[in-house]
Amino acid sequence: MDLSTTNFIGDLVREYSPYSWVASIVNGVIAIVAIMAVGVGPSPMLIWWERKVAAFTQARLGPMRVGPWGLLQTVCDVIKLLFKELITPHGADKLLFFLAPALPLTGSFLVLAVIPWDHNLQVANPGMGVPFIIAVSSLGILGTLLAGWSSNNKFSLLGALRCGAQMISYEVSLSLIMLFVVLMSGSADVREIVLSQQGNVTDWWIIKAPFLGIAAFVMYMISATAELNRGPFDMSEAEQELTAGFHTEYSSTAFAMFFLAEYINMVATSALASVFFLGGFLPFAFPDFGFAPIVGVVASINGALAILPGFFWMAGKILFLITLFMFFRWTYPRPRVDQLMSLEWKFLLPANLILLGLGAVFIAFGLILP
Amino acid sequence: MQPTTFEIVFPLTVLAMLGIAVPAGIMIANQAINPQKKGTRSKGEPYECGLGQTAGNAGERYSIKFYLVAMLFLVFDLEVAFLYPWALSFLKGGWDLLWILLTFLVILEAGYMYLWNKGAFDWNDATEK
Repeated sequence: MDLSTTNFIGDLVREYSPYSWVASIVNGVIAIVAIMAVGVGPSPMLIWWERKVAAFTQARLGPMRVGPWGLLQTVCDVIKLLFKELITPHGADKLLFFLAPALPLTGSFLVLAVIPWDHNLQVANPGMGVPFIIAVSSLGILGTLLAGWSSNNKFSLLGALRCGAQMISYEVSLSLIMLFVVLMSGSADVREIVLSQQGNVTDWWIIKAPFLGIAAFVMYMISATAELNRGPFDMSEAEQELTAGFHTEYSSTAFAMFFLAEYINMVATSALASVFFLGGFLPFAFPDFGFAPIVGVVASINGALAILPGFFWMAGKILFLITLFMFFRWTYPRPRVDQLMSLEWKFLLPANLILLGLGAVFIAFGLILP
Repeated sequence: MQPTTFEIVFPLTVLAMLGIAVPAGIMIANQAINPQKKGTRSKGEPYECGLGQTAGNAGERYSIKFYLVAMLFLVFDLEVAFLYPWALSFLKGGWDLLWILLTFLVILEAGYMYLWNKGAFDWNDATEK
């Protein structure tokens, strides 16, 4: 089974339609539907998964009542939220108050669009994919800042300001790590970055760049956790200090939008991590190190693994990384605000600059083969 | 086949509009199912444990320490933007590009050390120094 139908139908239309723009539109619409299905569809399932992970971390069972193993719990929650009342607080700026939940969602949709999910499954491929991703992911910051400012609540405002400071700080190190991968692969095109890791596991950037790859990956995961505002770095909604942070005043579906955006963002960030470091949609393949007795066996195992379409490999890697994010959240205690800022400005930023310099030196001395 | 500009811009535009339309649609549906009721005065009060009555409202002026962070962000993000063309051509370049980068990084680190010395990264007393 190959999920690259977008190209197939697009080609069919291209063949029978006299106008090429018809095919472009059909292709685009199909791709958008597919992205909605793979990016937004799993979010309710991820909420269920997060509750299960949290429960097992704390030796509980988690949701068990609705459906088998509580699988339908999130569906019930969504329906419940839809029937709640949408409350606007006194003195809120109405337009901005209701615009705010839309911005993080827009940002994460646009990031999902440029991620290659399979060989032929990508909504749009601007040649400079990585700067595009950095640019549109800042929309999320705007959304939280607007939400905090417009809801006329002091806790919301404080939470939003903290959140803004934290997210722009960690965006610096995220973009530096992305720059590191761009330097390694020599391309800012997201698909080219994936294709530069073809081969076996040792060709993934996490291993191919000796020591630097794993360091960059660890720093990416730390910065991404802070950028996603997830625990242990959820300073913007530290409930002991700020009630619920920037979304204190949001109820019902407006709150659900923030919640949804958080999970879609998590999918997008994990997808980017897998594209940059774990080979994206390329299948897992064992290395044989040119050791004669195992070459045949390894080749047949790799052939069997490669039967699964790239989309499943991508989904598997994303699920693995998301579970890692969930483990972070439910294992580590929350640091103080100033500790969090020091971590970025006094440790991650210089470390990233050194990483970049070392990467260039490694390439110049031929330690990393392109 | 190389995608045309239209093939890149059209889906992105549609997705950006969907990002506004989906929340708007859901919130309008929510309003239709369950219209807002008037309620008492305290229903619309900000949820801040009574601070609303005693500590003024949230529109008042704050001293923002985050201003400095925003400036630093601008400086370092611009620097990342400067490095992109360099990173893209490094594999084709060679030793010259390495010296360029190392010079750039040394100058940047000098400025960074200066900032650190001035206490720009000390969150607690950034305003006092």
